[in-house]
This record gives sequence, structure tokens and C-alpha cells, in this order.
Amino acid sequence: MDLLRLVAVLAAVTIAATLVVTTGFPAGGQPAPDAIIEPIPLEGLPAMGCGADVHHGIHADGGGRVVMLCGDNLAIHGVPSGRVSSDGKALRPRGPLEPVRGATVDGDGLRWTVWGRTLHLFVRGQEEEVPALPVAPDSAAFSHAGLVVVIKPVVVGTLPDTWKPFPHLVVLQGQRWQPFHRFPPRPATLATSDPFVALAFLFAGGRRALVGVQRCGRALVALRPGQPDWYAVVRGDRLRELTEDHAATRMAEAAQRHGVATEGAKFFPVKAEEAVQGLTLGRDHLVWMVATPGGMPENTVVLHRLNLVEGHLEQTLLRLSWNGRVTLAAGRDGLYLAADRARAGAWWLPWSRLENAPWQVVEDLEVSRQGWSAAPTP
Amino acid sequence: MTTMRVVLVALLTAVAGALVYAFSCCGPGFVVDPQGDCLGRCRNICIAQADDGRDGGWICFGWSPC
Repeated sequence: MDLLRLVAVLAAVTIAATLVVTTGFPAGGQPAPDAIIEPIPLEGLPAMGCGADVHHGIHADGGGRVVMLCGDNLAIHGVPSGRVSSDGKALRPRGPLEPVRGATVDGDGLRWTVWGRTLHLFVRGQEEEVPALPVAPDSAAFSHAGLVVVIKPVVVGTLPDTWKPFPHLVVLQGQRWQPFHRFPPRPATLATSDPFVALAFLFAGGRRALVGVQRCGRALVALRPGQPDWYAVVRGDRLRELTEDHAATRMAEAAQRHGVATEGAKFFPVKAEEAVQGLTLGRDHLVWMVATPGGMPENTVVLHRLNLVEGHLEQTLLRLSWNGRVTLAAGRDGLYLAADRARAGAWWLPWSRLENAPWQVVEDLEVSRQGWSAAPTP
Repeated sequence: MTTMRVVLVALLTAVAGALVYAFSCCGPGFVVDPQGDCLGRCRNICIAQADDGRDGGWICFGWSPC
């Protein structure tokens, strides 16, 4: 009997150890404290004068120069070595902007695009005219292919005939928005008929790549000049779907928070949880992502590091008191993160700290080098 | 008489055109599905963004399905 007990205890210990090795922390338990890395809060953020509840974001140009942009006063301040500069400059819009939901800068640091319900382009700080998008923008990225915009299934102008089926993203070519081909079919676990979820991609661009990831699952697409298309899915990822009631309740709460009366209105709620909250491209063909998959301990998010050349995905855990959307920037001295809202702050991780983090290989990455063509539709 | 007919036909055509425009898919204020087919028409559309920046969806006022 004692021998049996000993065998059982040994088996339990072996299984627990295996789980720790493969997942980083015991299943259903807490990760070891030293397995979670702590980002350092940025200093000097109040210098930007950003309203507490507005969007702010962190961005880097192609040279790794990091700046923060505030969504209400459009102030841009440099962030050398984890400290926000006390002075900066500001983008100059032609007129008042609607609430800003996101922004991005090009590799030269000269062009910005800022979006809310509509999209605005700034060159050397001054707003320039762009053709009106007939749909609402979701996000945008500058890349070798030009300015690409992920679009929402909400029409605000006249939809061209060539936009059927509805494109996942559009690119600005001259003075025209051209639709891109659709993405390859996603695995059944990530397929959905909800247009807000099906089209929910987040893109990041640079001189050497344009990379997109499904917000509600970890399906990635990448285009690099002169290279085959790249498409990958984390096997086993699935949509965390919300029930109709849960989605409607969440939406009604958001409407109430924004002071929107909803009588006589129809809701189009998003019916799945977002899993990827932020994305950026760094040096050495690395893509950085922050994800909040299900079952994470409190105040913990996953930081992914994806090598586009080797098709190699790794992850480590980050202690973060914010689990909503973030912006990421790969700077000269470290990786920077900012919560979507100014009140929640921003952080950085020196590269040395990241190199010494306990990275684990994500074994379940299924890579295909064909299946996505990002050539614009003629 | 011919002039009256022409005017009547033009008038009917204009009314029919206005009705088709009013109920056709898709123009400003429409929400579309991934195939590009129209789901419905709104007089006005608002973004409902959750407090953590996530997209909560859209609110469509004066809703009429296609």
C-alpha cells in the first residue's frame, strides 16, 4: 500500500513538473513570481497634458526613435530611455477632430495617420487631404505597400462595386483606396459569421514587412517584399465567444458610459473576446505582440516574440495592471507599451531584461508560406 | 397629351428611383456582412468602445433591415 502511495505521489510530482515546463506555471495555479517580468512605468507622462480617459499611444519610427502621441491635444513627445520629454510638438489638424481611437507613424517619422470615425493624414505635422474612405476605419499601418487601412463593416459613403466581397483592408494608391484580396480561410475554430469579429485584424508595418493578426485569435499573416506570403495559426486557438446577452449588455454599458441614448437603436455587438491587444514590428525580423488569452492569472498578459524568417513563436509573461488594448513600440533601448487610455499609463522593458526573460517556445504554430496574396485588386 | 405622358412617366420614374435609393443596399449608413451584403440601414451610427479600448461594436439608430 505504501509502495502504491509512493508511486502515486511520484507520478503526481512528475506530471506537475511536466506542466510547469510546458506551460510555465502549474495548470489552474499561479506562475512562479520570477517567471513574470515587470515592465517599468514611464516617467514624466503628465508633461503631455493628456486627458485621463482619452487614447494615448506609443510609437517608433524606423530608426527606433520612440514617441508618445496624446489623442486629445495631438501632442507628440520623445521618450528617450523610459522618460517622456517635457517638451514636444503637436500635429496640426485642419479642424476639430472627433475622438481619436488610434494613430501610427511611418518609418521616417514624417507621416502620421490618426483615426476616429474618419481617418486623417499628417505630413510634417500638417494635415493633408486624403480621399474619403467610404467605410469606417478600424486601424492603419504604413508599410512598403503604402498606407493600409483595416476597415469596419460600416458604410459611411458610397461603397464601390469592386468592394464586394467586402475587403479586409484597403491601400491608398495615388488618390484612390484599393481593396486588398481577402485572407485565406481561417481554421474552423476561428471562423465566425460576425462581421465585426471576422474582419477584426490588427496590422503593423515597416520597410521590410506588413504583418497582421486576428484580434480574436492568433492567426497571423505577413507580406515581405520579394518573399513568399506567410500565414500562420496557433493550433488550438479558438474564439472566446460571448453570448448574445453578454455582448448586448457590454455594448449597452459602453453606450451608457459615452452618454449615448439607445432608444430606437439596433446594436451590432462584437460577439467574441479580443485576444491580441497590441502588435509592432522590431529589428531582426521580430514581431512583438501582447495577448490576453483566456485563463490568465490576474494582472498578467502574454508577450509574444515571433521571428518571421524562422517561423518561430515564443512567449513570456508580463505583469500588467491593464488587460485591454495597448500600443507597442520597439525602440533602440527597449520595448515600450502604452495602455489605450492615458489614465492607465505606459511602461518599458530594456532589451537586456527581455533577453533574460524566461521565454518558452509555442510549439503549436502552424506555418504556411502560401495562401495569402496582398496584391491590390485591380 | 404626349407631353402629359412624358411628364407622368418621368415623375413615376423619379419616385421609383427615390424609393429604390431609399431602400437599396448599400449606401451611407449601412452595415454590411463579410460578403459585402447589406444587413441593414441606419440613420446614424455610433461607435461603442469599451473602457479598455476594446471594440464593443456599433449602435445603429433608426434601424431598418434590408
